[in-house]
Amino acid sequence: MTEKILKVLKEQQIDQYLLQETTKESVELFFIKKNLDMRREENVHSCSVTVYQDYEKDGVMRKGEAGFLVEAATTEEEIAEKCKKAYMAAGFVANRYYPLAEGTKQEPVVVESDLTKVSLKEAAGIMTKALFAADDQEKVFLNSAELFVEKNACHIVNSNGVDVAYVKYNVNGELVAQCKEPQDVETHEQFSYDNLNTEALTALVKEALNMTKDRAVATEAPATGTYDVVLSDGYASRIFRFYQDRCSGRSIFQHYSDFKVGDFVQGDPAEVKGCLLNVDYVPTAPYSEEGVAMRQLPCIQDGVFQNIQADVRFASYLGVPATGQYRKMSCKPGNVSFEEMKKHPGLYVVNFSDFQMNPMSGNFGGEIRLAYLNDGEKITPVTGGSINGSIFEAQKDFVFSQETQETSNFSGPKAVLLKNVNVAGR
Amino acid sequence: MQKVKSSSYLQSVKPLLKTLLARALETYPYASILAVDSEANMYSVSSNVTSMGENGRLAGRGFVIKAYDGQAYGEYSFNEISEDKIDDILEHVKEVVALKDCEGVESLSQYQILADEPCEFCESTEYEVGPEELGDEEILRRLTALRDRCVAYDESVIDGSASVNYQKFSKLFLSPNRDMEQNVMWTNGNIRIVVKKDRRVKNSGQGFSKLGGIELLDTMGEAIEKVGKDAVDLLDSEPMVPGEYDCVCTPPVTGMIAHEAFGHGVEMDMFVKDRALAKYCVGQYVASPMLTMHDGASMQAKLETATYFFDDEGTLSTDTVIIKDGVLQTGISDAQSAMSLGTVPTGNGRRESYKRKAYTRMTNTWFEPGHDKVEDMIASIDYGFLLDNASSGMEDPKNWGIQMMVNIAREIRDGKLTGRIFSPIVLTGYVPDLLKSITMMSGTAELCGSGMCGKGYKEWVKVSDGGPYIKAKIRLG
Repeated sequence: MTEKILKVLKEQQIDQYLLQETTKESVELFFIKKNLDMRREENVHSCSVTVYQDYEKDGVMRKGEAGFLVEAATTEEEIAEKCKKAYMAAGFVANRYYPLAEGTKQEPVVVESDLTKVSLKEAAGIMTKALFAADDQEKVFLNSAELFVEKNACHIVNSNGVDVAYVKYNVNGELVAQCKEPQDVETHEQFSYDNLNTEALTALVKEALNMTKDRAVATEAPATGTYDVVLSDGYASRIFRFYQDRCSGRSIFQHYSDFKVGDFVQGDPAEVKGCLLNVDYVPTAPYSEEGVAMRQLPCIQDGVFQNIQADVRFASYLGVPATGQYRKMSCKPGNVSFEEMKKHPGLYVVNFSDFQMNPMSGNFGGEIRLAYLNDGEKITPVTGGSINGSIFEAQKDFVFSQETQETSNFSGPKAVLLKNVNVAGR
Repeated sequence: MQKVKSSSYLQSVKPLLKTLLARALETYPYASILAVDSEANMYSVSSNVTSMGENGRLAGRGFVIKAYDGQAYGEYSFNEISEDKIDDILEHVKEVVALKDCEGVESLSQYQILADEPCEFCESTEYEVGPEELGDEEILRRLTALRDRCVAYDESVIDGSASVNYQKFSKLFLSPNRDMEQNVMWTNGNIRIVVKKDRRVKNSGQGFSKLGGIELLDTMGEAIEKVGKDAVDLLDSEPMVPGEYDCVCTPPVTGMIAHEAFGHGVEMDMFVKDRALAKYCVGQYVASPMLTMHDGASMQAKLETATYFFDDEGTLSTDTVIIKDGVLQTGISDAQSAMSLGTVPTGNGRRESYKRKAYTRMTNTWFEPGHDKVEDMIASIDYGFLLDNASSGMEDPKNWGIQMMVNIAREIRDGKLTGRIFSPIVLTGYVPDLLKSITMMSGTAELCGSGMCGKGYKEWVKVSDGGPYIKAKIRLG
């Protein structure tokens, strides 16, 4: 497909372009209880094309761009028409000039994973076995689950010499655990692994079943007030999205973020009593969408901002090296055990309806589906009410667990303790 | 008015698709094919970046073939078809069917053959101005003018943006007895203003939507004053004091309650999985007797962005009355769920794209209006809030817990707005408690379809929701 598009671009004398050709294959299994309710496969081939025009306007160099999609079923005549239309449209887009990524032809890379050693169907079978391995109780069980095993092949070419390709595998999905007595309740979990991480999936199911059993006996919301709140797993990692966004070139260039390299970005250093942030950017693919080679990079060290993560455009605007946009971060864990953290009086929220971290305002919050209230003497499961906090307040007192978690988009402490968070309850 | 045209590509491959279907039916008792050709473009102008291009999530051209093996259904999604590819596609369908033999799979759901009453059909929606008529240059020029007005609103503005996007799609549904075609176009717009004071960054926005074309652009400028005021007011917002308050909800907040709090709970694939409390409440009061709620994609329902003639399983769209005078009447369903439950499908089987599975999904979801005046509703409150600027929500069909966030709560004291503003706000509580507490409803229902709806955290489809201003008791945090 890339060759076909390059031929059209050459014919139309379009000399600046970026092509991202992808082929996705997947095997998908949908379960209701242990019954396979629907099975699916996907095999789709497409290419995202961006064309550029450099021109001068009002004495300033500009770069215009416009994109379009070519699919396996797109005819050559249609590609020619789309190219022509997009190139003309690029002339109406007056962005500040920036150069495209530079590169050379590289050998294709297969991202290391044990998923490469088996077929998608075999991988689906292995993960299905892991999914149901802990589902062996009567009163609490898996209500339903969805499992996707995916192989993505990506080829990136631009007019500045970039010509890179990689293949990446992933297994992801979601599950719902249900407990019918004494109350009929459920909890929802998602998962995503770049390996045949059977142990992690079975452990996740086990935790979900235990959590759901506890939710079935929780009847009351916590009293309204201020609590020290423990978040774990996916909710703990979501807190770091604030820093992921604030460290991005796009946010900095648009003044949404006031982070400056070399600055302490965890509030007032004199007020910080908790863990200092030590965060890295972690690549999830060998190359960014523009073909920039990605590697692990320091983001924040001891609370001090180290590197801006930016695509080619915003890196150029800010005068920093292009790193590509990272989807994964790692954080150095703390030295308090998760068990110790749970013994701390407060609220350990294990399940929200939805937990939101707003990177623009710094506010976080969500409705509590299950939490364990530790009043210093006993631990009571509670349900209902909501938490509503600000990262600007919370970041000075972060406590990170020594235990860690590893998912497709986060590597770091399994749990985070946030002090003095407002809880709206009964 | 003009009609959306058929896809010439789909017409050209239709004979091949019929051949593929006939070949599949030689092996399987039932098969169907959904073919999609979707053009979707976005244009966005902000303070620093202008962008335009095809929307990768919505644009696409491809097919999904569904086959019944005598026990259950399997699907294969692909995007290349030609005479010499048909054997290969059928081989893939065979592989899909064989997935039942995967390691770890203990049993298969048992289904019957889907109903397949004869239906031949070709319909299109209408629009006033097509994006190609206005042209890329003019669209960007108008958005730039809107952006400039946003940026000039106040000196605290650090970013202003105006965007518009549209989807024009053609779908063919072929089964042994059905040959259906539809051509639909909707357009969305958005105005957004970001302000900054010291370290506080706040933003406000407003969405616009229409079943129709790019004529939507003409209406967007009217919102800049309100969006700008909301954003600037937010800079001085205070944290909410948690508690239960008398609230007046603006139509977007009403819509979010209809959609997130109640609508997801009546998606009947959740009934099949025993994941919805609503399954046990049909015929019971779940809301104030003032309240009647609809969901519908048909041309007889509300003409908003989630309008279509048939769903992704070839079922004709309908207008479903979900709650009538406070009593739960029925849910909404896709074809397979309806078969499981022994009910009639309501035309709500929708896919994110030809690449994804069909689920029961909402369309245009709304509360019927009442007879009150908004000023009387505010005047009736001693202490409470006017809730505006709905931001997000999450369903809880099993337990009817409410989880919604709004950006703005304007304080009402002694029947008047005081000017104090609180943000952000989390709405919680039990859905029937909120719906039963509704005591006043304004006389006009307004819908907006500028957002997308996920099933959990994925499977995004275009929906709209809305209703009148409502007065209710709501727990805020």
